[in-house]
Amino acid sequence: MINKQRELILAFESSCDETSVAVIENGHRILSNIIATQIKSHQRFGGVVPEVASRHHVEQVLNCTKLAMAEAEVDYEDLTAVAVTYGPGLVGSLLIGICAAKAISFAHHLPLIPVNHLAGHIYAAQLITPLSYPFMALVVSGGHTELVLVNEPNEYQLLGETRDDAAGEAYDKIGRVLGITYPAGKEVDALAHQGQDTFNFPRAMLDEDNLDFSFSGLKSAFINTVHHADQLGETLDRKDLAASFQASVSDVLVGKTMRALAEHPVKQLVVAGGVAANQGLREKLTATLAIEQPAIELIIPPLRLCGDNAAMIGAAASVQLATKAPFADLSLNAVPSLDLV
Amino acid sequence: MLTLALDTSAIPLSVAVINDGQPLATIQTSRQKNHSVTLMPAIAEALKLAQVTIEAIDQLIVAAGPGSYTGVRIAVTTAKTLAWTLNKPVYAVSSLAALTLPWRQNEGALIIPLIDARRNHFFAGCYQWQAGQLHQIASDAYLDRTEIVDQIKQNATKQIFFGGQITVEQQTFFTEQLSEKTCHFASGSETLPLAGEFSQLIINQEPVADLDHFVPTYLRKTEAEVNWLAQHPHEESDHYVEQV
Repeated sequence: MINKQRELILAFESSCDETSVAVIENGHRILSNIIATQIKSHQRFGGVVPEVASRHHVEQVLNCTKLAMAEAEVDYEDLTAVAVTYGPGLVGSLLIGICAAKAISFAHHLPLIPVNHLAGHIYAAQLITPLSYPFMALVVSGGHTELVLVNEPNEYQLLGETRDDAAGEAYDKIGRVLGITYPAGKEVDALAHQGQDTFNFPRAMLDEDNLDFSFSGLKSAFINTVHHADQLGETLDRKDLAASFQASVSDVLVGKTMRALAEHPVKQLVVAGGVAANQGLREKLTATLAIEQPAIELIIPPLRLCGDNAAMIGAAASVQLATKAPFADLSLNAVPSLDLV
Repeated sequence: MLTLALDTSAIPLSVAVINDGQPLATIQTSRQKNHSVTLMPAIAEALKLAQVTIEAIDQLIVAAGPGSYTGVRIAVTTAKTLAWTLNKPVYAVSSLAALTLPWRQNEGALIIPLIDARRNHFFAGCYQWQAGQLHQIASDAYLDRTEIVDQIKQNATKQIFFGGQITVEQQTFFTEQLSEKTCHFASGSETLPLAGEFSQLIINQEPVADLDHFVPTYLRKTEAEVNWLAQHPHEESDHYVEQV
């Protein structure tokens, strides 16, 4: 018998280079959240190689599922639904989670909830604290930089997005110039804390009357500065370079977020995605919010829930279940460039 | 004994429910279509047509490659997840062996099943059917078409039976290069993997022992890995993925 008091969702996430399976109770309690990361593999190539990623997912998906079910101490008859990320992401990677989720949903006659990866990042916050609508979400990762207003459960309004590189992508690209291996975010962040913002890199689009981002100009300015110095035989201070880059990125992210908050009154600001782990961004956002919008609660999930994980997919799936969003059927396919709205 | 058999190794899709070697229902497609969209609905439909439930299935058989990387991943991931979650055994068969089935009455003939891997390369097998048993003459391999010709020439057999979907241009090449032999090419439904016959491929075979580590037979490393290994010999490890 299904225990109606206890909503249990088995969730799958395999959109990029992490295989993750989780069991989430009532949309907010993590019973298990198994994450297998392929970072070491892709470090060999300086970035994620899609075919390699897909192969690793096949190796991992069953073991992650086993562990997730065992750690949660649940059986199939306890489950309410199966959820899976179906985009955006790498098609070959997405398909492995989708195949596994479909097989389990079919074998045990469970509804299948298709989840947008970005909705997952946003609802990671629900695993930390109850959300009150409307709330603002800044999604920053290796693939995304987006400001989203969540008006109602599962109702998103895209306020702004990057017009070129994602913030995390810019970190990886300038990291390469600094001789830092992929993924570069953590090390650039650490270097930045030891340096000063001396280079005054551009703050792209900060003064423009919109909520969009651009990081490709900053990346070029950074690379040109380093190359120019190289040609003159000069060596620039890596710490100051990192600090200057990070100051530009966080100025823009924080500046645009504040503009969005001024235009759209909310009680909560959620920061989601891998770049939410960035200390420089966290510090600037916390400090600026305290001055400009002290009434707004800042929610930044812990590191483990900022990166890709299935717990967040389970949280978002629970919201879809509550809002009676349509289930997927067995023909569910990966949608690599799926939009949130 | 009820068996669910599936193959999405190349363009065709084949799904069957088999009862003691007798196909009860078969779904066969040969459209350039996404197997991720069609496979699970085909499984559901085949079960429905066979009037059995998924719980009633005793074992699975999957064509595990070689073939389209995405195609074999879809079949293997689906099969191993179903096998694990239903606690049933799964048998892995070669996707090339599957293409020998239309020629199984041709006792002792040399059968060359091919899956086109582009740029005049194929995933190629070399098999013989004898007394209802399939024998592998050479390992499945990724070969240039001239290497396939050389392999065939090493064998004295005059009658050569090609399996799988082979373009007219490629058929002409093989016929010309093997003028001393008589080449027969599969046509029509003979070119398709027939999941309804897959029981014949697992005679005397054991099911997959370790589902966790059950992965497709790709036969080829990725280009990125090949390049990396060339620059970093002796550095390959088994610990590229870790739980965090």
